[in-house]
Amino acid sequence: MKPLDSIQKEFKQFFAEGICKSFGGLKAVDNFSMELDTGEIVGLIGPNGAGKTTVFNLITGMETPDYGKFYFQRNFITGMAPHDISELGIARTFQNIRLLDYLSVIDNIKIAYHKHISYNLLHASLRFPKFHSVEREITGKSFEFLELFGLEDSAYELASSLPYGKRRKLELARALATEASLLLLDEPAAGLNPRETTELTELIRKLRNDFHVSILLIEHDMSLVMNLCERVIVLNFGKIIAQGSPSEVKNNQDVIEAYLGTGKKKNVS
Amino acid sequence: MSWYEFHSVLGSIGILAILALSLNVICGMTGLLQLGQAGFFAIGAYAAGLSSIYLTFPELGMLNFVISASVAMIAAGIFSIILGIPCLRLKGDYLAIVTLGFGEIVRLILINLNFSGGKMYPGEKIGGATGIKFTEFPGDIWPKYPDYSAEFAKWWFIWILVAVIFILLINIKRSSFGRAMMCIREDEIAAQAMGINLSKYKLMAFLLSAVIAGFAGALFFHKELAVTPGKFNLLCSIEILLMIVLGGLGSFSGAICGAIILGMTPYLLRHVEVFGYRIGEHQQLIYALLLIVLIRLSPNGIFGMNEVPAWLKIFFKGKKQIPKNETA
Repeated sequence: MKPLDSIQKEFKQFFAEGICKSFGGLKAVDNFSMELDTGEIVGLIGPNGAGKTTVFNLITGMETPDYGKFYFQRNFITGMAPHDISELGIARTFQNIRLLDYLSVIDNIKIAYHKHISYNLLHASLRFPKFHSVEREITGKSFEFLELFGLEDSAYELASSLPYGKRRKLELARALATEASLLLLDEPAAGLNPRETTELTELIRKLRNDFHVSILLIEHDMSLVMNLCERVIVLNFGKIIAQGSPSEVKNNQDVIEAYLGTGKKKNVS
Repeated sequence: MSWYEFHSVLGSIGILAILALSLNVICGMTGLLQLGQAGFFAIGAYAAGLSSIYLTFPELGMLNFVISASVAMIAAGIFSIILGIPCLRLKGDYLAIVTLGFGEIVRLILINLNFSGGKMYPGEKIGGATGIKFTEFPGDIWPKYPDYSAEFAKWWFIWILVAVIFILLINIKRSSFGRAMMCIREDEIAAQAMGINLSKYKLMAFLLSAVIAGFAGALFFHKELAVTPGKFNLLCSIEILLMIVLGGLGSFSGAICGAIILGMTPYLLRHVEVFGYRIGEHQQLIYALLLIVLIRLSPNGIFGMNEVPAWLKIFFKGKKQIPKNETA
């Protein structure tokens, strides 16, 4: 029998076990299991309506699974409130960008430092020295992130005034600024042109190397998935139909059928 | 308009401004529609009235106001927590309906309330439709100025308090707490994903808002030295909401501006004559017309969401702070 220590070392950073979720009669996610190592980039692909975004909602606690367990860094996170899960270090971006439109760009990043605030309401309302020192630190860190993403020039503009590509970047910066160790990116390349997609691919790879985060991403842009991901999981109707390296998945018969159909005409009686 | 009336009106507007500031915390900053602010206002006023009956020490003078205002704030705070814990799980219109009900319930309870009088009028009943009434407050709370009327002393005192509350709220708005509340206004799902505890911050905003409204109630009681339940009707809540909508939801300076405009209009119109015809009789009509025109010209209110409106920003140009990196 192995000592407890070595068993815990074998624990992956994140794993899901037998997750099921149904909405009424529709099984959105059916027996979904996966695991993720620190620093891995894993793609989650599948046709529309396959339940990819539901998986993200389940991981981040926006919805609770009917069955199954999630573990993150040896914590059992199933059924925890979204803000508690976020505090443990899981951050996500959204398919339809959810920025705080009427706040400035820098404030959008500062929101992410929310859990590190050590002053209270009294310190804030009376402007104690502690408030200023904490705020200065946060502003400095936020500017570092803005510089990394090339947004420092528009720091004091409203988030709603940014062009689409920059909004995507800002959301990514915000997710990263929560000091998360697992990033869930929901279609980061949606609506970007090929040049921007290439840029984004480089950026995500750079983030992984610099911040040692693991990344789980949903994407329809196959060039990004094939370039970036070390492992791909394919979902169809809530079930995992294939997983493996991008090249393996590309040649998998089930995957081709899921995306393109069987090629045979159905016999309609 | 006589000087006495003018001073009295300025004082009333100051109290309305505090109410508008308080409602702006919950409606403007956190984005929860609250239609029961008059309820907390009433609780504050009644708590201040009762505490001046039972908890007044004539030798303390000005400090009596501090006691009475703290009682009002604590009472409003307790009620806001009782209402907030179950109700803040509701969203949008549902919350508005519940708070609207709360405001009406408070008013109806106050009308039907009857408790025996304390030190002031032995034997007489307090409560009911006549409310609480004093002819003279025993603790001499308003600073006395020999050359001016008592109303003058009241209004500058009230406006100093407006300024203090304004500064405190602006400080909160520009801190992590304000950002969290505004984040909830912009997008609740994104706020959750950023690790913001929704119920905690909603309750915090609700409590802050109720406490300030309770404080306004205490000021109202000590200004009028009388309080009747009839004032705290739905129209009162709606009027406060109109002020912050007019000034710009989310802007505290806009809330004060809206309170001044909407508070001043009826008094100004009362004295306007056109061809010998007093248009003050059709005050409500003009009031409504004014609102329609203002909302049509700038749908986000006069100030929008900023503390300094966009059309004034040209004077504040070129002051963009680039922070030094002090993370190391």
